[in-house]
Amino acid sequence: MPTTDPITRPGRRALLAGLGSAALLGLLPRPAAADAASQAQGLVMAISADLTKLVNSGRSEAQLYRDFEGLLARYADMPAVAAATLGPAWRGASAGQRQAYVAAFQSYLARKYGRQFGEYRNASISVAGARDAGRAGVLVQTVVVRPGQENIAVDWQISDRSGRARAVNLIIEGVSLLANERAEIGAMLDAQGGSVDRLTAELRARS
Amino acid sequence: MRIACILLGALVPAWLAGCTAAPDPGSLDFDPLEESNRVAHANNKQIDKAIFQPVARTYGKIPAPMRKGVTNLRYNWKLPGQAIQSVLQMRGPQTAETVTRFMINTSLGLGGLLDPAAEMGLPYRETNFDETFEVWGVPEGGYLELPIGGPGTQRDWTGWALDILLDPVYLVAPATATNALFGIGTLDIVNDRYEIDPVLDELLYNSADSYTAQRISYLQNMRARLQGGTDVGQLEDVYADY
Repeated sequence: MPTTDPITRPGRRALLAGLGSAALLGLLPRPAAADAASQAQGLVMAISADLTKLVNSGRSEAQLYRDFEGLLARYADMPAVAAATLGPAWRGASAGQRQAYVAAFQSYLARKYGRQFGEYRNASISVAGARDAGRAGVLVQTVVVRPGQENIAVDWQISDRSGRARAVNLIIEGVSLLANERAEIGAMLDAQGGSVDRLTAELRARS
Repeated sequence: MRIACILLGALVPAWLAGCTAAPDPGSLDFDPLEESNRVAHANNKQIDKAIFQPVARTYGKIPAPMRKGVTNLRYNWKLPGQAIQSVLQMRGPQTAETVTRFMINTSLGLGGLLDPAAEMGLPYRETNFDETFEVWGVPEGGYLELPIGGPGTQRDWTGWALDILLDPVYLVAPATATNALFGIGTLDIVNDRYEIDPVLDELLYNSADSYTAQRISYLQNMRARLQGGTDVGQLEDVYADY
């Protein structure tokens, strides 16, 4: 009786079947990757819900910045983001300097981006998909829809390398927050003669 | 290589010949024209503060539906040129969509004042010589900030000039129509400045280095726009050095 079982009848067909399944395994997302992607999407939905609530809360500016800073601390890996924007100077900084810098950077960021919140009243955020970015994490693509204005493409880079899924970058219409802040922090650090302490003081003054 | 560099160096700038350790042309730090760009940037900021920003904020007081009508008109009459670009990009379906959109909005949309095509699933999708050059694989060249014009690259500004020179509407339509279109185009550029006012204001007047901030924002945005979104391969590993 003819059989197609590749184990009992090794041959050309078995080889093809083997190659086929190998290709399939390579093409299909591994369970872990698929899991990371759905986890990342879930995180972005949670962030979006909290942001939408905050933007439309009608709170005072001071409260808005404080609450936004709370969201940053909760959902983003701020020490990792702060370190990435500081670059080589991070390695030379003491534990105390790092801690002070991360705190000042977080407040500065909350204020800088919180200032734009007025533009997003009545906006809605919808998740459009997620793409695996290997070691860089997962890119969750969203569209911010504002009534009467153009849509904005906002991509969220999510990584679980800290132990849990957290945001590590935001890419608005192709513009990476991390790349922009690295240039900005670099310019500030130069202006402060390369001193991390004076940079931290400058960030506090801006927030 | 060295001899070739010396020979080439006499003809073209060193960075073009690839002889120096200059940043890679695809990177955000590639900026061979920085010196003259920074002069233009300083002047552009003053002009913006004195003229463009106040004019844009005044124009923004006009009700949104009226400003939208101006935008619709400008977009509609850019479509014939954009249909040609789609052909040059060898994108058949997009060419057909552009032509259909033009016919719908020119007739049902009262010459382009309204945008019924968008509701029929044919939204405006801008494409110009900059995108055609990208499709053809023409290199970006250096970042080029022009006096009054603002941010661009050598490739983008070349495309911009060709878009104007070769616009079929301007070649065919009577002078009264093209004058009106020129007025509409000017108003809509003012509107563009108004729409991005909060972002541009932050970028130009709150940055530690507004020139660099604008350059890297422009380059990233342009690349994502022409390449159809964020390139996952370009994402950085935040934990690499942490």
